[in-house]
Amino acid sequence: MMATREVTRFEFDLLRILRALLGVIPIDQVQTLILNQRTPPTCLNPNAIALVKDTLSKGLILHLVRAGGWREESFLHNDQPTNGRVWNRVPLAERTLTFSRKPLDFLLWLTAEHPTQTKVEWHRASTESTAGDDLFFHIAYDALRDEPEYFNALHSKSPFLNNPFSWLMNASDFATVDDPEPPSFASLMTGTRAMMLECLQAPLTKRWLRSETAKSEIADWNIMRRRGIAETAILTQFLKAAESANRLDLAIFPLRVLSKLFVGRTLEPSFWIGGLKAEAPMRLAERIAIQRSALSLVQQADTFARWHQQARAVGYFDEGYAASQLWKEAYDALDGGATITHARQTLAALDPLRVSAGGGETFP
Amino acid sequence: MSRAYRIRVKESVARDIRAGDEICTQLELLGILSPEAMGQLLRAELGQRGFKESDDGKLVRQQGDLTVTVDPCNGEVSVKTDAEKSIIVEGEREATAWDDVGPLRKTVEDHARELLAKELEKKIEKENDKLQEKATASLEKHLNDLQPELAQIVNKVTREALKQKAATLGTITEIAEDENSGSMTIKIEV
Repeated sequence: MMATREVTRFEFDLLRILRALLGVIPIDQVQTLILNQRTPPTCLNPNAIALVKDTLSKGLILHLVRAGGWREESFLHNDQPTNGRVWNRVPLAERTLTFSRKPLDFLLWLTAEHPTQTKVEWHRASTESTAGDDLFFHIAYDALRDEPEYFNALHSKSPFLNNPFSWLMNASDFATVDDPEPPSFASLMTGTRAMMLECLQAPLTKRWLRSETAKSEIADWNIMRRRGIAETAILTQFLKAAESANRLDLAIFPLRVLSKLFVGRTLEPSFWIGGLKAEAPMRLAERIAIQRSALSLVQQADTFARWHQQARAVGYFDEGYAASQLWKEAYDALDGGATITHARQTLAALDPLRVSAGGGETFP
Repeated sequence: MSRAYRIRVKESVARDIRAGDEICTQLELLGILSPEAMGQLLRAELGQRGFKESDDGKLVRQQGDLTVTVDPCNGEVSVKTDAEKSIIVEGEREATAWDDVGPLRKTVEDHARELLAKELEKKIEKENDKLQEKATASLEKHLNDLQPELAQIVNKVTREALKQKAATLGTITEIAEDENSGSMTIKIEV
């Protein structure tokens, strides 16, 4: 039987907030704790720190397992496809989560301050975030972002703003400026973050699919423009990072979304832009640019087609044969050929002057 | 006893305003021959349709306010409309001052002039919007005519390319073309 650990009232509240952020208890149950303002203790007692560590590590691992770690899937490890559940695929060293002081600082701040009214800063920008930190802040952001007040108070703070998981998972949240700058996605392609990304493929697919199907509800051209610009920047940089790291297997979720959208059908552009009504830009050039950027995910079809073409050209004795086979398998399983054809037809429908000589390869 | 003076300011602004709109597309030609050969065929076909080669190697056709530019190397097409207009906008504004000379009168007059300048800028903006609407409407109208022409060009270039390709495979004995359906049958003797 586990020994009872004593904690102070403040520490108890902090632990409850942490459990809510990790989804163990509903976030509504800690709303008043978050909004209460009180003086934080000068230090936490060892019992509380041990409980925070335990809750964090168990909570995040459980999150990853539930998100997709339990699935028997194939991903590349040391350039070789490895099949199984995440704990069978990935060596322990890459599955071990470490944390800096940032999560604890955040929890202290969230428990002590009123997040929307305080002027006290909590993030330590100078220290490097660990993979565990990034995942924690992504989950915390996800738990809090539905409340507009929290969203406004938190989303511009560096642990969220520079968090590649948050950008990938909530692209529309970062469409608030004309020229968004996503963080580098290169860190997601190796080590522990790559393992996390493997587990998050299913929720990413779900999130992007939901976002694509909800686009037709956007009536404002300016909102659509910003959304398109942000999504294009995120997807382009993410796919580029995956290609540079030879981890195309980590970039399978956008193809999954396309495959689900275009399952045996070509969609009309109105599926995305049908809701645009209020005050269209005067220039045709601008209108078409916005319509095209609304289909930011569909535009990535060419990248997947190119990857497939390259994978097909890799011979048995060539370097990267196993990786290319893994990509081809996934591409075929998702009916990639038909998906790309449908996606291109949809994009063609957006071009008022589109002229084609027919199927087949074009020049140059 | 004070007396009110009415101050009237008049301004007129002459301005050249410009508006334009442009869309770009890509001619998708099948790679029947080498890119250079396909580009050559495209260049020839465009030449017959009144396109002139510019310094950068692109083919350009100007028809009134519409400019169509085609890059034969990669099939990029740009369709652009430009509209220009010289306008003169005039306006008048009245203000009241308690002196007909001195600093107060000057302040009131300057303020009236400032407001009038803002009014005139708004009028110019409106004229600009009208011109932009006109340029965009003109582009949209021309697109309807241009689309079939571009389709014909692609069709013609493809047919020519097929003929040339067939000639390299053997002796052409018969060519049957149907302009309406765009179909073509080539018989070759190998």
